[in-house]
Amino acid sequence: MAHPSPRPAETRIDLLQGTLDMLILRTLQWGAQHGYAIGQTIRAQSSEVLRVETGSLYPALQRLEKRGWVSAEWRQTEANQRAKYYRLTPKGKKQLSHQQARWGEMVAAIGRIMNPELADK
Amino acid sequence: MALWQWLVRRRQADQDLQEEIRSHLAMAARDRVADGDDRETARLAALKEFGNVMLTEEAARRVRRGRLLEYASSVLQDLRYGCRMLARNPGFTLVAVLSLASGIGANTAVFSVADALLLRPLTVPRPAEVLTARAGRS
Repeated sequence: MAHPSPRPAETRIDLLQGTLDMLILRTLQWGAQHGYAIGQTIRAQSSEVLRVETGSLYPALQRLEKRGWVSAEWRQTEANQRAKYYRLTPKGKKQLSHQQARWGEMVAAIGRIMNPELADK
Repeated sequence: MALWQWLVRRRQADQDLQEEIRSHLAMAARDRVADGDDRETARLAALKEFGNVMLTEEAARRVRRGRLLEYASSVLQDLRYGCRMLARNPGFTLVAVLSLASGIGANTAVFSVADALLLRPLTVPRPAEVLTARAGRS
């Protein structure tokens, strides 16, 4: 190793951080999934609008695992490919419902500002 | 936790993530083959879609280790880099070490003299009664 190893600039995690964590937890509510499937599910469920960058997805999964919201285990897929499956923990379920409630409040609050004529009806 | 255990665990976590990314790429390529791509095209397309593998690994590692450990490991990296550079330029290293050594040595010598003469009480009975005598016009 003759060169100092590269120090990449911060990757784009901040952009969607809280939201991405919530989306991942929501995706796992339907059962354990591996990283690739989580990305595909978010993409499909959002009608291809949201594309999760792998550079954000895998750090997010590490973060969720570290916080104890998901647990991981290696298993075989149906196509006989070894993959790391993530599963919601009880703590993660609690966190998801908390985040869902907050998300609802936020959408409603932003809606009242953007469309005041629709509010109070 | 002992240091070597920590190092082993760290290495295992790195390998785990690398295998996870390999498995991601394999599944993505398989999906493309199922859609009619040939194997090599599928493999390249999966890699391209994944983006920068090293950057992803780095970002994930940073999350896993936390800020403090990441900082410690970058300090270690700098130290290793410094040592390598010193080993590569023995002439520069010699001059630097000698000038540091003579600087520190000279300072120590001057300070020990000043310490013995000026800072510590004189080694005589009742040092407070010692007077300075001087001849000359005032």
